[in-house]
Amino acid sequence: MLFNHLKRTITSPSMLSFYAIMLVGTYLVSSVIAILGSYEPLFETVTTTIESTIDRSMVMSALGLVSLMAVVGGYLGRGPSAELTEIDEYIMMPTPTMPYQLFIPKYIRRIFRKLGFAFLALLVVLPLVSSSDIPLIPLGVLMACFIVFLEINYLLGSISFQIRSRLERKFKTPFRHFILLFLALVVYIPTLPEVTINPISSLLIPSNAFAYIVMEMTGIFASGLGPLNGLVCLLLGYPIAFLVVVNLVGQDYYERFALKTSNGGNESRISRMIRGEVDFSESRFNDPLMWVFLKDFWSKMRKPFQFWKYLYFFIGIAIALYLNIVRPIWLPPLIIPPELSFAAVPAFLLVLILVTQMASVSALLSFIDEKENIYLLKSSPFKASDIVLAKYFLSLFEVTLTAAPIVGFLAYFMRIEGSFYLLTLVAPLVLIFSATGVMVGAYVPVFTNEPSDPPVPLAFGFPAINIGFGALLMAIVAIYADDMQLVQVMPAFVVVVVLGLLALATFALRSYK
Amino acid sequence: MNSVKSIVERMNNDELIRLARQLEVSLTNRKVKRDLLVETIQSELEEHYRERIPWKKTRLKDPAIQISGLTKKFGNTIAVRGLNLVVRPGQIVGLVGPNGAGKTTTLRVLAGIIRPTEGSVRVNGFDMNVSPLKAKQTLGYIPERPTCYPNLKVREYLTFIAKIYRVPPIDATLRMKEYVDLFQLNDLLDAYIGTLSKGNLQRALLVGIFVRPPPHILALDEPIYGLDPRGAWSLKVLLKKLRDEGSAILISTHILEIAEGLCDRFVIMNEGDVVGKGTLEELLVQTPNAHTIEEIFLELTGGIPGT
Repeated sequence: MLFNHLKRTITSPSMLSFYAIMLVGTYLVSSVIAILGSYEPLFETVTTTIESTIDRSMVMSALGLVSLMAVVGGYLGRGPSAELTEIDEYIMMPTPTMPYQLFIPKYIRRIFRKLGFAFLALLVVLPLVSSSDIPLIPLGVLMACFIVFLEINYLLGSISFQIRSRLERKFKTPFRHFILLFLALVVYIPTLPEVTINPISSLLIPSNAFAYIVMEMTGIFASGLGPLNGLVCLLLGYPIAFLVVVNLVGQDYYERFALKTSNGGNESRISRMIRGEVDFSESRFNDPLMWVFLKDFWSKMRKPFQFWKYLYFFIGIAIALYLNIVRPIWLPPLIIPPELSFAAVPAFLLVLILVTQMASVSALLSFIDEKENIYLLKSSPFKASDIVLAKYFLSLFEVTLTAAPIVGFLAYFMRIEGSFYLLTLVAPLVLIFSATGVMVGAYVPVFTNEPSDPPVPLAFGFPAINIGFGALLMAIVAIYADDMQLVQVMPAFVVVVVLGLLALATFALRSYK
Repeated sequence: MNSVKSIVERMNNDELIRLARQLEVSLTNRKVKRDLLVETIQSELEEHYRERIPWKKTRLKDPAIQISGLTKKFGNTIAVRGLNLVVRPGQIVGLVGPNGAGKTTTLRVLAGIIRPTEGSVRVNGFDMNVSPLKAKQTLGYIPERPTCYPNLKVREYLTFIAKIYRVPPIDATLRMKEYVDLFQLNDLLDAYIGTLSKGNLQRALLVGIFVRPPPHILALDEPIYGLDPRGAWSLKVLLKKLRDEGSAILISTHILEIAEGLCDRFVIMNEGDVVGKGTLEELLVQTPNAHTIEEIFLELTGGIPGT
């Protein structure tokens, strides 16, 4: 299937063009960013800066926390069944194959995709890496170790999911959930300083081994023994975790996925709304754009994740306001050394672009989350432009919710000269990135029959295009820095880009297969 | 053996060469006359099947499908309540009911996708919970919404299924040709599944089931869905033929004309409960006010609406 996928990609010009945009565009943009600032001095002093700010055990505990989150997430979530699709349910589950025989190819496919992403990521950061004089091979090894570490966490989550499923089958008492506490302790206790003080026991669990590799390879808290010990422990841990999952994976793996499709009540409600089978007479709004907006808003609200997002927004904003107003002495902002001040502004802008990019993922999902309903939405008696605008406005709202607290923290922690003015760039970035997300999301059903599964070039093209626009925005700011024309050029640029992207999204909506 | 010979005669040149390779027929000449190749393959097949009859005739256990006291809950919602159902070899049983009656859930439990909350499911004598591989070996399942891996070609999918069910390659090639012809999929064998229409996808899934040797135990969820009249007709004829050859078939549908024309017995479900079962005649006795299968259905699932 992977081979066929590749074959179809290289024989369809539109897909190739998106790949080209993704690869060439990102490489060029990355080169431009690398030219804008020389990052070598920044990396030269970063070791001493980090060593003076935190200690060794904090690195171990922080990475241990990642494993802990994976175990908790696996226990509460869908575990490896999240990789299954409806096609697997209909084609593979009724066949005389064992669940692990389905798990292994699905997992291999996942690894191939991860490697693809890692390769592209390496390509993207190549100019930046060469500008900062970081040796490429160790960076590649570090990235590979990072992937292995993440995969071990995924497998730990899968183990915790299987344990929960098995216990659920045997015990009905709510006390069974105490196992989660036990699992969390098993993963987290070995990361505490009392354990990691012993070099042998410190390598026992993968998060410690990975922390050890990172420290040895970057030179931060390096013991001088070299990364090999950690590498061996990490690479041993991976097949062990994999084989444990393969042995544990059972019918519960199917069951958990099938339950999801059995409880798909939300979709039909959304479908009914799109079909107009919902009484809108109570609504004060009499506009298709608002209907689509409200439908998306309420269907998002029905997802448990959305509640946490709002909670994050309110708590995050409260903390950010507290920090910026009170400026507590017990939490000082990062002090940028004077010798790094020349690199501080480009680095700050880069962080700003990356933060906004991360926050704008929900814009990409605005169309993808529709899944098959996208065809229903398209066939509804709404104008394509109304649908696109509704998606765009809700995306703006969602992206703002995610970005606002982070920007608040950035304003406090990264105080550089002119940071207040630079922070205002978040507004044009959010406006443009949301439009890019909507545009790329709208193109997914043009390229594939599975509107819920964006092809790799689209998923990667999204950040590539955004970084491109981010770099352009930075260039405009640099060119018109001392000119009042900036207040005319910047809004004009943003309006033209946003309208252009939304027009492309409308065009995409009109050209579905 | 005659049917095998006619399948070989209908094969195109590529298929003939593929089959010749599977039979290890020597193909050393740069050119070979089609008639000669057909004749050689036919004689090789005669030799190949000398020891055993094509599509080894095994018999199903009786009952082929046995669902006892099946209850399936999703949280607090009961999808199926205390269902007892038996399908014997040589029978087509129709599982009929309105939307949300529990038909699809019943078939998903039968196919081993989900486990019953209570009760048991036996397929060809094997308990689906205890020996799922043996139970699934003889079972063919067509889902309500036909779907398949979009990046596989039709031929690849059919070969893949034949391998999963351990159909010997020569048998698989011959059976594939037979059913590809029947369901008129010849032109689409090298098409990607993602590009197929719903009807053609349904045909491909059906051929995937029939690539396996009979007798079959089939669990078909709305199998006529998306098929054009010719495809629907072919399927109905085929199902009746399979029944006569000893297969056991459970069909879920709410298209009553199909159920009436195809099924020997009916199980009528409503909101997870069985509200009626038996042959058409038995159901007519149970519902004195009804005269047709449609009226029986309406009577048992909430009453005949007034006009």
